[in-house]
Amino acid sequence: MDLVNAPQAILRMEGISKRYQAVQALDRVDLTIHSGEIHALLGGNGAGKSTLLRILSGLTNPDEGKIIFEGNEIAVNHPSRAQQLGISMIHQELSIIPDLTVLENIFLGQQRVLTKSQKWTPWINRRDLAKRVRDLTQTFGISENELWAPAAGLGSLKKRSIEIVKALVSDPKILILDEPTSGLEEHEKELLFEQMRTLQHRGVALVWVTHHLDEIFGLAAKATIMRDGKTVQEVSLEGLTVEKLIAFMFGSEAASLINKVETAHGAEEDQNQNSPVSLEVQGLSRQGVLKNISLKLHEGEILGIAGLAGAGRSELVRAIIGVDAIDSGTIQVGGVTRKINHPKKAYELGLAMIPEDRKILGILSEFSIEQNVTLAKLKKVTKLGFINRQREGKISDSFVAQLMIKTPNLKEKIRNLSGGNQQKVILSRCLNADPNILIFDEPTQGIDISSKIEVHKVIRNLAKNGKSIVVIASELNELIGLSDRVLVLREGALVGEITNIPAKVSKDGFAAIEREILHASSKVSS
Amino acid sequence: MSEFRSKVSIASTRNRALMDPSFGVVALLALVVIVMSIFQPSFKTSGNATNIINAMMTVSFLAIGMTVVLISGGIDLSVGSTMALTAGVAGKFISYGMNMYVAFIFALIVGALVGLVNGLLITKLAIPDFIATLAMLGIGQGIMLYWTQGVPILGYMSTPYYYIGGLRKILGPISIPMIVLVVVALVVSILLKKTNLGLYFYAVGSSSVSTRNAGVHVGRIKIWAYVISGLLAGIAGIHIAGRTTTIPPLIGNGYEISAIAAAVIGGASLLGGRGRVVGALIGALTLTLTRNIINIVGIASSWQAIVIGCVLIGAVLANRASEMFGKRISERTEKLNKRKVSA
Amino acid sequence: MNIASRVTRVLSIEGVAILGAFVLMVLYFSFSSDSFFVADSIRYYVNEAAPIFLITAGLTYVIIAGGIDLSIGAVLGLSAGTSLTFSMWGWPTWASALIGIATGLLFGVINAAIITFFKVNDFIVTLGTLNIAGGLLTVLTDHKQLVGTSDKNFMAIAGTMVFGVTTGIVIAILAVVVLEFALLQSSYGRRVYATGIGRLPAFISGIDVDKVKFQAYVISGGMAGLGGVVLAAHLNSVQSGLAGGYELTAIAGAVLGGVSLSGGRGSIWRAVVGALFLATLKQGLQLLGVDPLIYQIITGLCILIGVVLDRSVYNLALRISGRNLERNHQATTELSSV
Repeated sequence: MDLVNAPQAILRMEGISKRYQAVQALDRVDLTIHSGEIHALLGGNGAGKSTLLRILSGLTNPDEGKIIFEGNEIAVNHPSRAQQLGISMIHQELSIIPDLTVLENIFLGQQRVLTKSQKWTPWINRRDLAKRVRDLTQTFGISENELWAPAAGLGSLKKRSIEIVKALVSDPKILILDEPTSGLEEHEKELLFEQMRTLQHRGVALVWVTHHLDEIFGLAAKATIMRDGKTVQEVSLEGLTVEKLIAFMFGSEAASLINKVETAHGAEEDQNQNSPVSLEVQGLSRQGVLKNISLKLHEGEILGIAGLAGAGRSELVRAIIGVDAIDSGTIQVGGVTRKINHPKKAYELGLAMIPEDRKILGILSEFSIEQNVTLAKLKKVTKLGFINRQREGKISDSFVAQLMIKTPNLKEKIRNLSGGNQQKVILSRCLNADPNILIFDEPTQGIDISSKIEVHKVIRNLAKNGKSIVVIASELNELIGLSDRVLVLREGALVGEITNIPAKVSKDGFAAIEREILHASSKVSS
Repeated sequence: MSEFRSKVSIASTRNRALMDPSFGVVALLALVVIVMSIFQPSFKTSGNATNIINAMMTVSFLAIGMTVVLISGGIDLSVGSTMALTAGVAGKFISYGMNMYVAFIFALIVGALVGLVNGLLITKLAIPDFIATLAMLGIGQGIMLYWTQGVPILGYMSTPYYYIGGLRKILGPISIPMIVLVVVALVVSILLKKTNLGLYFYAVGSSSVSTRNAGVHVGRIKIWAYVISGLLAGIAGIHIAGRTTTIPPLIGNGYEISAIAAAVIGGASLLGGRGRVVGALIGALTLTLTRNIINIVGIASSWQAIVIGCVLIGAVLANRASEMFGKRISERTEKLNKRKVSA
Repeated sequence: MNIASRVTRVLSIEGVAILGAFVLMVLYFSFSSDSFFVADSIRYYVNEAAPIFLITAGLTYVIIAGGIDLSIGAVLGLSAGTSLTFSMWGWPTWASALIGIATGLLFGVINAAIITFFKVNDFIVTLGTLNIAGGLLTVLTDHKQLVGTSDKNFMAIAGTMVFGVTTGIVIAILAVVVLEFALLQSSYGRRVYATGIGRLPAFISGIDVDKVKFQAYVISGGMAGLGGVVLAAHLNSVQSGLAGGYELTAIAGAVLGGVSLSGGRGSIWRAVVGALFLATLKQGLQLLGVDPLIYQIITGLCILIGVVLDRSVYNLALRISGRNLERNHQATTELSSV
């Protein structure tokens, strides 16, 4: 690492500490960023990356430490200050304001920068602003019409594009990207990486937080690794492998473990097609969303569902589980036709879903781990209408052990857990309901590698024990690695099926399957 | 630009009207007006029409202020007592010998101050808005009661005030309050639609977290909303003092409920991010019309509350119905668009 | 060390602040006024407050489930009217009481049905039923005052002395205990909290959130009905506008007690202590001879201070207990990535 000849750092965070009540989130953390550099910020959940970003973007203040920007010591008290300095952020969670139009979302708070006027006027000239953002919005696939539509109605892919445009529009000096590729398709990721390279050449400093370690090679030159609130090391990514990186992040023991598990793709080979059908769907339709979808799910099978964002994957499973209504179609569970119009009914029939976006749909934040675990089948802990706390504790205990959930005690509120552990609690909740059919919608979203591997192991074990599994995953590596069979959706209709995915997929075989899925998923260009 | 315009026209004027959030209420109102005009000749007179318009003034001012607060995601239960307080300030100061217009300015300042206090309690002390403005309602009422010692304020009227209060008209049926209302409605409307502050109100009400991320000082925006509400309560106070010519200390009692009802009937959402000045006026008109009809039809006053309650529930149901209807229309239009594009 | 950690543990119990404030207030009034801590005067205002405790208990269910019920005051008044009327017509006591409770339940069902079935805003709907119930009471009493059932048994509902307290208070205490126990220990109570914390995640976990809310509004209405019966028995007279404003006292009391208006947090005993605080405040001020015209100012200020204090004490306790945890080498909790 040759810092002596490097240009002066545009940003230096030194000795940053932050404490939240009982937890030391950051402990004398250092971070150095140069202009024209793509700098990856890595670490498992709970490492403190988000807290550090919150401080840098002005959402919170550090207890100790200095922030030196362009040679001057500064305090970023408020996001507006960050903006003034030229620090922009693409948030992990969509920061879209639903009742405002797309255009308003883009320029909110940035009018002065956009119009480059020194005088402050109270008036908004929307047409003018639309003109100024036109190029950028077109690059990211936001049409002229969509600028004037309320942001609420758009899909999550569009919303992410809005986030990106919003961060770029102010011509920032430092751009922070917090998991920017989540929910993006391959070609969209490429587009984003291209933009990142362009910005880098223009001299912008990029701070990039991601769990996808494979993405950073070839793009980021340096990485700062954090663990348990401390800076572990700053490394140059030249000549580094993913394994070595993981070793830095989690320790060398973890790295070798992860390696072993990764290569042991779905152990035995099962001819699942001959097992009994546990779930069958015929002609499922919902106007504008699902078109006449039929599928069969077998016991012990892991069925993957692929497709672009908006293709209807989540909508399909939500319809099966009774969250959304359907216009027509039938569902048979274990051979018997059922009407599932409420998740309660689904649970009673032995179905369970681990939803996408656990923060909004999954966790009950104020509840403890125990209370979250038992919620889907309170019957198990209820006697004569009253809850037996001991039983609740025993049940939660067994799940904590079984799934290796890291927590000081069961009474901890779930919102204090890391993303990976929260996901495990939700999984416990589903398992506690004794389902035969489990649906996972993006099971490893926002989870660090070690927890990801654990979740995959659990899913495979469930299938081995005869449960029927449906998995939705945008990351094709994950999807192909888990699934025995993959259905491809496009615009609400079933357009392809890839059967007999072998347990150990060769690199070429993998690429072939990936190509097949991508081809079926994308629109046929006219 | 031109392709944008042609796409918009696919959502024809008819469809846009159907999708308007207040459509349900307006349709209901129109129906009622037609029915009343047929069956009750005394309803159709211009005298009655001016009655209705005069009666809706006070609530209109308060409803506009309430709409602004609701848009920003809050609620203001203190507007009734603030109105009474500002009326008291105007009346008392005039009766102490102060120039009427100067007294008006003091009244407006008091209104704005109450709004400022509300805003600070809510943003700096993080007191929930319901509670903070409820407490201010009590405090405001208490101040008014103590100041007047329970005795209504008299003896402040003057000829110009008769005009300002609307008891004397200036041109045919037109009175000064009507002009003031139109001006206020226009100003606030422009504020909401065309200025940064207006946009910030919607943004904060829609998602205060995302708005803060975007670099906006959410607290300041909320304070402004309450100050505007207080200011409008001040205008309402000046108006009502002139209209009723005496100010009993509890004159504001119940007006906050009417203001909220009017704003919500007009389409403002209690969750924030939505609302329009026109909606506030529609809501105020609905409430006033209801009372007017009750009087004309001769429903015993004891039944008034029941009718008003039913109107409230009916209005939100109508809004909900038109919302769902509008969704279906827009879905159908979308399908049409898709077919046209792919053809 | 031991004492300190015990103290902080007590402090971090939510609702401790309001209880502490209440005790302090009682002490203050007791020393400032001879007539405050006298059995008769306590009995007097506590009796007056019994109906409010009842509606506060029912209201807490609705608030924790994430809703609000503005109609409870008016429904209480109407129920008082209907039960007294039937008693005056010579119906047996139990029948009149049942009528009163049924009135409350009816309005609870109406609220519940409109709100959950049509998915319209609860603030406006309960405001509407507030007006309807109030209006019905006016019609019922015909602007006159309903006075005096001759049925001694009816009055005995609230009037009999049991262990030195009136039956009205006993009913209130029983109801509060039962409802609180159900809220904290039953599976229904768990579902109420879940619905209030997150409607969507609760729904996806298989909770029938509409049913939970429906039942909450019915409970609230039922309590208003019961409160009406107790009030009618206590006053033996009913007039238009009775119990107007009670709902605001109940809501303010609940919030003072730490029940969060956005749902998912709080419990009944705290809400009741908050309501008791406000009732005692009024009584104390009266006995101190404070000018009645400034009651509202003082009450308003107390509400503001109370809300701020409650949160500050809780946060302070958390910070202190947090440091203790760290010293005891508890395992570090991983933060969720925000």
